Amino acid sequence: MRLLGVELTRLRWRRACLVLLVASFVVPALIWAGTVWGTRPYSDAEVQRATEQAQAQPGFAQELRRCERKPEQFFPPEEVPDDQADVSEQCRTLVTSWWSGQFRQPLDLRRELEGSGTGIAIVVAGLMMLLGATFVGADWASGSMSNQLLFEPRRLRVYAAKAGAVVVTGLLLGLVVATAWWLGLAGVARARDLTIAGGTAGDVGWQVVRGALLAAAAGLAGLVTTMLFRSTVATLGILFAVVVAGSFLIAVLPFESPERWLPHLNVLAWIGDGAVYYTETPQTCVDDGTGMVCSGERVLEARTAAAYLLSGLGLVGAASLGSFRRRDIP
Amino acid sequence: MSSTATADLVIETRGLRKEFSGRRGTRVAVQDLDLAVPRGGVHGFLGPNGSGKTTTIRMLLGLARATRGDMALFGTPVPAGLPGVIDRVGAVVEMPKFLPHFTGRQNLTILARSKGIAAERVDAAVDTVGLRGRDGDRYRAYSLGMKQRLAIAATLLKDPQLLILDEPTNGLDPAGIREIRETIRTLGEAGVTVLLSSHILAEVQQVCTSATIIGNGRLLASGRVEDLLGASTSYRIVVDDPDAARRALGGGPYAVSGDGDGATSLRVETDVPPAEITRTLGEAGVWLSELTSVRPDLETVFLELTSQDTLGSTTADGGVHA
Repeated sequence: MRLLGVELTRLRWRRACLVLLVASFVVPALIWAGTVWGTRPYSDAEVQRATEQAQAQPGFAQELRRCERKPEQFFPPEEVPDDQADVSEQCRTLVTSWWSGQFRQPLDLRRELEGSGTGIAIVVAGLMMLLGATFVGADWASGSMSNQLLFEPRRLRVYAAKAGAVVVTGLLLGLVVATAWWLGLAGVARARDLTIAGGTAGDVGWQVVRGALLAAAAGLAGLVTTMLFRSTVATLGILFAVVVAGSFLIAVLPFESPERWLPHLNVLAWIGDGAVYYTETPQTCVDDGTGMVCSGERVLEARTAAAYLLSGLGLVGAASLGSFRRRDIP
Repeated sequence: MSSTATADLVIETRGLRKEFSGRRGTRVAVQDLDLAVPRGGVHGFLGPNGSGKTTTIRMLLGLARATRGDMALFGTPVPAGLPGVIDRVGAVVEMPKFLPHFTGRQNLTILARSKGIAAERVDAAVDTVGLRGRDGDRYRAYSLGMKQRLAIAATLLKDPQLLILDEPTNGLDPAGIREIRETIRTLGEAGVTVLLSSHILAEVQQVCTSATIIGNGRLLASGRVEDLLGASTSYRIVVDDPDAARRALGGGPYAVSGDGDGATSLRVETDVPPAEITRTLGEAGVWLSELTSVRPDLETVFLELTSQDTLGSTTADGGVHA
């Protein structure tokens, strides 16, 4: 525990780590502000002005008549009203929103789960990966690793303390940032008198937990890779290679469904509790009335993605730990 | 080595070997080195660049893995037993290595906390090496001399019984060198065993009680400094009449030759004490202006030993390449 405390202090005193920690708050805050701004409700004056401008345009009346004549082409079958007056009213609202450019969606926490919520989890994880890499990268670059081992020669303990510091930081940071982010968004929804769909809170809670675990794992991945290659630059190069060359390689390999092995799809599947991907072999076929329509759609489950990501982390981690225990320290 | 390690030796190695493998083959940095450093005093560890001094030190401290051989610190086999003895060992290996963006104090504090050492010891170490007032500066802003001082301060945090110093006066100004020399001497006199690796042989001769000289990873000589220098058997004398002096000292236990420094100067090789030379010359009516004991210094011994050793590094199969 003492070594863990020392490593947490070292992390807190490292300027590059501090910058990344601050960025982990600032970037989600900017995304939050963007989400809040992008879903702000229209004012009455805005609606009035836009409606007048839309209805004054030459094609508006023609479009409205088309909708009133064939509402089934404009609405899903279950949303087409029986009463013609209601059809006219609904068509007017729809066509006005199209012609007035009022496409801004109101804030919907459930939709944000797959949108900006996933985004901040990935941003925090990315920053944590950099933090894990630069945290131990400085030890190797400065040569101070040997100094540390002159005080604590048990390499396993030193390694565990460093990894522990990054994991603890990742977990705490992921939890705090995501919780604050969602609480802030829920507060905005409440202030706007928006209804939050049932079950949303539970789903958000699970995404916060998954995001925190991802942040911790990403930090650990940055650390173990840097401990293996003993250089932050090498780690960044490998990350770049995995993202660019790895995706290309997986795409050209003769897998049945190469997309399933892409790291970023697995990350999305973990955060989003599953992700859709497509295979060349059709999975289901349905008759839509015009003929058989086949789809290669498949779902990558979160636990499968977690197993894939943890396997990768485990392999690199084992190599890294073995290397640190056996190789000479410069 | 636990059953055979000698209790009064602070450092002991037997058959120590270190090979480095690379694209150009295997290079032997240390080969079959037997090192014995007795408890107490200052022990010099000498050798030309690339002779294996630092590699040996790094193996002793667990930073490098020995290819073969046994090592012990305080009679405890290392590296297995290193956790049990590391608190008694302070070391500066090669250049000081600290985190550049941390202040000197932060670097020391982190190391101290890793061993549960009180903050007061950080203050004391800073004071001892004369860094008070600059300990709040970032390490990267330090001069080389200040970095060396900080490295020595780090070794003092643990109150060590064995201090391993690899070129500790690198980058220090003359006053700094003198301070460090005095610190080393004081520590040695206080019972701390100091292993001092240095290129400055005059410095080593001034402070060391014993020394080991290695070349190409092999032991060339080891023992008390006095023994390494050998008993003084050569004297330079200056007389008014060199011919009379040659006649007086001719035969018997004396071998006389010209000194080359001048017509009145002679070199006398003998086992008898200098008082006997004086008496013999006096009885012959030859009066001495000067009698100087001509002793080889450590530098001379070092150069003689290392020049006899083949230059170049040795391959794993025992061959030598330049």
